[in-house]
Amino acid sequence: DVDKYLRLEANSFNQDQEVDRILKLHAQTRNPLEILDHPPSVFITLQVDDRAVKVSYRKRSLLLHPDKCKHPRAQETFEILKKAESELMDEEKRKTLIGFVTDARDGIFQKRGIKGPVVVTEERWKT
Amino acid sequence: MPTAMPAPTPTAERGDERGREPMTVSPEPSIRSRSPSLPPGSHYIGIDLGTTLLRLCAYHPDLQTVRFVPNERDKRKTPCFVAFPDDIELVESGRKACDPVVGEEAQRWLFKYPKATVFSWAQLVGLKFDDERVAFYQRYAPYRLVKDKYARVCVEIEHDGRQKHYRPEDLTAILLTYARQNAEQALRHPITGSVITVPAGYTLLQRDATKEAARQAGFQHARLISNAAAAAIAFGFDRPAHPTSVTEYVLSFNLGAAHIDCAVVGIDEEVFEVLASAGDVGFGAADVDVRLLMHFVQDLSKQSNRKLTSLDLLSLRFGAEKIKKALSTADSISHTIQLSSGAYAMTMTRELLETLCADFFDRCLVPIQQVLVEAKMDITKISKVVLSGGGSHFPKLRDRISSLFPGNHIYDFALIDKHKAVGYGAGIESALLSGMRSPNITNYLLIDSLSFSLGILDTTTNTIKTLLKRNTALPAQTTVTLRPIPPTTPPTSTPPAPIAVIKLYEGDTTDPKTCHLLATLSTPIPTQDKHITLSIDVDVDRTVLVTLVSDETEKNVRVTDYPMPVFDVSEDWERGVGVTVVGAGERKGQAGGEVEGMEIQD
Repeated sequence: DVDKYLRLEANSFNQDQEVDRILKLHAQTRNPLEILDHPPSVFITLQVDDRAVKVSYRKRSLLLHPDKCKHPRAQETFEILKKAESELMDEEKRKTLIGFVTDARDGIFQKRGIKGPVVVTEERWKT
Repeated sequence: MPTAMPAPTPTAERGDERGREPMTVSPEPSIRSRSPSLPPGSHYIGIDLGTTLLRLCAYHPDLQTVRFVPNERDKRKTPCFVAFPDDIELVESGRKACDPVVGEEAQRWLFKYPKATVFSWAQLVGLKFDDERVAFYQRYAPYRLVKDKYARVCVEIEHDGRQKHYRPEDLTAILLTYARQNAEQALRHPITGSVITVPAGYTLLQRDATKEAARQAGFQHARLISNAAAAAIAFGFDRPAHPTSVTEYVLSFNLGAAHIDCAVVGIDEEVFEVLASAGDVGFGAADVDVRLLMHFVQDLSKQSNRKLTSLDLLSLRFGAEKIKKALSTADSISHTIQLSSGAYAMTMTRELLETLCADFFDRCLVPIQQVLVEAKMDITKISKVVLSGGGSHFPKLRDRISSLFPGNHIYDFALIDKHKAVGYGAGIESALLSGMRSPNITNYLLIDSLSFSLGILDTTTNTIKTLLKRNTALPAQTTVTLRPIPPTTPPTSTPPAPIAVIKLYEGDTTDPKTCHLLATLSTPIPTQDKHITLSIDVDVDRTVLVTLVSDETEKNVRVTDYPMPVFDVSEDWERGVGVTVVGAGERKGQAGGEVEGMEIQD
């Protein structure tokens, strides 16, 4: 029973942490890529994998869905998570998002004097 | 390498720019952040609440899995019958004459007290009396249907020489009380929560009525899931371990006695997401019985010496049900039905049954097409078709469905029966809500979706502006900005009242006449920026919460359509003004401006 208790405690600690993380991101940047906790390298490569989005969403929804999570703001957090997922799975919205991220990235690269992007997006490749 | 963007604009300022409250991370108790389910450790039970049968399925701690709960006669299914007998036999056996009897015992009373025995009322729950389905239903029901004060349908029961009116949900409550007592006796612990299966096409009103029945029956929390979703969970439980880690799309089709349920469910290992659902409530396998019945009546009318009483019609109806079931496996069947004018012997072939029901099968396929379109799903992406419910035993229906899908995609349950799948699904969901952890039950998560769109009346065009589309995953939330619109021709010299009237509708069309009015809400007309912010919040239990913000005042209204639409408007509402939707509050800056200030990490 001690084992079970510890497992429950650990789980609810993870849940609380995740709720806080997502709510904080929602208040700051609202970037779906960050909400779904993509590795930072995604901001350099800008290659978003459908499967990675799905897996991340699945893991987080198991943690945060109001049926599983007793945190008072679980519902709100789950809505944010769901929205982030549907935005990334929607072709159009993802394109817009990637466009913004590309601009932001290139801006920083320019400012800091870093040469060229590591991986360029498809359109730039063609030209 | 770059570490971060130059300091992003402070959050608070950005929040204010859009007229939004800056978000704080600390948990703040508010009305929308309540937890719907019961505290951990509460016991839930899964109830497959069909039109003709009731099955109870619960987690069994010793076996560490879900099992069907037997009733007091040691049967795993209980017919949905409620009888109000006033018989001396019962009084002598210590039972008060007014106590209703339920299940098989009630079925026994049917021919003795046809006017005090009710069955298959589930399709009447939450219906208006002038609904065309009620008239159709009345033709084949031995009891009378009447209107109550909310214009809803009621069942009239002759009992003790008096007429009593019962709402369909009261009868459901009697049945659910029986179910709860039964389960408490069998499982030896109190049960406070329930997972009840309902048709996917149930409106909010019908769901609220069912929840009310559960509340009356002593359940503190009732989660309603659709039959199709429950069958999909049972599929996840039944199928062998799934090696590939891709999202699997399953079409779940459930044909019950009086409903068709259809859903496209995306299964990503443990997460079941209902992508689209559709259904036909009030139409199901029982309609085949009715067709057979009409065929028999026609046949009997050729024999001139026959006269049919209402009890004969009942016998024929139950005979038809037996014949229908037998013809799922046999090619032809000879059957004799006892009528008041003597025995009626007939031979029925499957071919004839299929001719009688040709259009029945066509209508069964309509929801399938509908969900595929709504889920934007190509037929080739569906990996399995899960058939469940008694009606799915029809060989013809199976043929028709399998011909729709290339290759053989029909999934045959390995461990459980087709007609028990829904009960299993409800049982598993109830085990999950209880917080049970066992090696035999994976930690599934069912993400349900809205069955009908929610919208408000835009008075400039007199159409309904959809705010939450059907099939939106739950919990869902949306915010819009409204502007009060004074009527173009003021009816009288009196100036319009300083309130805006907002009408919330449920339905899939833009015409307010065909949609169902859920609530009429009011808010003072703002003096400063002339805009009202409206948020609709639907939680996992489909409780609809509307928040209206106008100037500094905020108003929260919990919309329940039961027993009548919410009418939260002061006396002078008729002079109030309508509203028009001017913008989507949340949606405006979604992918656009939001990302600019984003941090880049390395």
